[in-house]
Amino acid sequence: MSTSVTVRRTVPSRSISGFFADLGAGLRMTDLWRTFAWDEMQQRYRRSILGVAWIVIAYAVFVAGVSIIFSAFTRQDGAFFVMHVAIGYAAFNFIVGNITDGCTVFTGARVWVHSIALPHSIHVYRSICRSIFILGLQLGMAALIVIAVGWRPSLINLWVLPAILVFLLNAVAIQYLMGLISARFRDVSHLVSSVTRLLLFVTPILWTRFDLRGVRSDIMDFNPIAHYVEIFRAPLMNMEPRPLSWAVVIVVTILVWIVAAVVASRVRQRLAYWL
Amino acid sequence: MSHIRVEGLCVNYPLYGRSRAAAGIHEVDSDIDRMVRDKKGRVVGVRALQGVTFEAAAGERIALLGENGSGKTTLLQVLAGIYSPDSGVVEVEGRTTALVNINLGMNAEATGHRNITLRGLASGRTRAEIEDKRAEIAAFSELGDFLNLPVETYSAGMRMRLSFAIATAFEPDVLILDEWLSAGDSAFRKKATERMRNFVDKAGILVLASHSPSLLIDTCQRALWLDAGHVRAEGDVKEILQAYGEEMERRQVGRDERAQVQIAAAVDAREAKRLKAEARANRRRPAKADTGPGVKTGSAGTVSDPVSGAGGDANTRPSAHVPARACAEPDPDNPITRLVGRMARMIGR
Repeated sequence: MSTSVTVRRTVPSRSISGFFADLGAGLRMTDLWRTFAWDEMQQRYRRSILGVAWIVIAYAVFVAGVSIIFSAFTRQDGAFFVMHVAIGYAAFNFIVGNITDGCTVFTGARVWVHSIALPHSIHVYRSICRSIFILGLQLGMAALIVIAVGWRPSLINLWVLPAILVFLLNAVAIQYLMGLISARFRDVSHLVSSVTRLLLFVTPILWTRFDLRGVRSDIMDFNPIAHYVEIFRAPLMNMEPRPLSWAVVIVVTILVWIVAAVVASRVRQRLAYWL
Repeated sequence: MSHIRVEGLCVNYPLYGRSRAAAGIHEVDSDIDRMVRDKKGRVVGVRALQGVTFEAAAGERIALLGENGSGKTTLLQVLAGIYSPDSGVVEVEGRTTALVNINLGMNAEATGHRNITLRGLASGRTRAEIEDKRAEIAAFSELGDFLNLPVETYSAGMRMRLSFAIATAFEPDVLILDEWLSAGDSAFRKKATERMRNFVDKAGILVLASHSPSLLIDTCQRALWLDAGHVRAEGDVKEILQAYGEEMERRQVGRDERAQVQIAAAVDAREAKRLKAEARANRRRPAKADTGPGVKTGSAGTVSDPVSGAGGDANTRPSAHVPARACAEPDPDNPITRLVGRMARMIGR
């Protein structure tokens, strides 16, 4: 089954506007990607007894384990560290999850790409829907944890809203880009899964940047993921986010979008041949 | 209004490393110019469509015929907007529905009803429109309660019924169908043919690829004959079918002869290989080796070494408990027997 476009003119095209047209057309088919995402979530957990609860359980176990063991290596007080881990890990999962999910966003949708001329962005939005759902569940659990250790809301928390917006913007570009790259080069998904494991250790989740001294602290600033986590976590922990972090995030976001737009406009039409 | 215009359409199907194994294989004569090669002569792609040009106006039913690999399915997929052309123009006016691969375009884990929703949404319908059509789709597909089961539990014919029912229920302007329609039983096929005719009466365009002359004559007026990615001929469906049939018969004679020669050569090669293996086995056979009852000396090379006792499956291992006739003679050409024999020899060394 195919699109509802009334006149479709297919010619070899490499224009950037084609990429944005694809993003727009996909976005308008809200009902479709929401349905896709919902089906996917249900199927993934349908035959397990605890189902979706596994997302929350895995997350809670991680936060508890890290809080207990790694609090021995930090000079921060217990409650602060628990909040740091709980919020930081949820944010980290979202950002890094976009990179890993991006690797399968098109390869996993092979059946649909080969049978229906839909905007490719449909599959990206479907995947992001799932990331948001997971983020929501983990943040719900995080809320319980941080309230238990004495967190109280404040106005500064509102800084998290622009952070979420930036996260979503990044998610679209990252998943589209990673999806195309790993559809063409199948090694990329293996590479990504080995790198993301390292990322967990070089990002301030298991440790805080206040524990770093001198040159180590500067090195940390080269990890953009750390800044993404920072702009999300700091306001929720009632701290001003570092201006440096926002600056890095904005620059990286723009770069990611430029790369994604250039790559996607050049190769978007080839996707069906790659799958 | 529906309209299709295809002009100078070329599609090279890239292989992306899928061809490495086939790189050394010498292709059949006429296909030689269809491979896209890199500088080293390795096959990197297939010229699926080469300069295809045709037009279809509202209300036309076009039959697409051609041998396996002539580019029919690729052309359908390009018309559906799935594959993009390497060069040329494809213009399709009107809502298009394509059913090219029966196994695609369904979420196999979701129920039939859920797939009606999914595919309705995917072809740009609103939920209200989908609900309007649901009963009709259920009735036409005759799937009844099966619509509440996951599609993965369906047979090919059932999937086909559902796909066809959904595709035609939403009354697209352009309907693109590949040959799998033949998966249905004769009753359904009759119903489907009927529906395709009605559909075109509403000024839609039908493009149908099939190997069934009767189906094509029943449903189509015009035919497009694809040969090795080119349009070989275009015209009245009966005339084209006749010309196509004659040409295929001619080709088949030549092919049969070629195949005979190739099969004979392959048999000779296998025989030579077997004789060689036999000679080698005779040389290697230990002087007092007991090859067991029922196992002929000719195939001793494939029997596991009785000294090592390692390897070998039940048939090749000599055993006192097994009656002689149960010890089937190992087939020396069987790759597994050969492999087992080789492993046994390696271990015995």
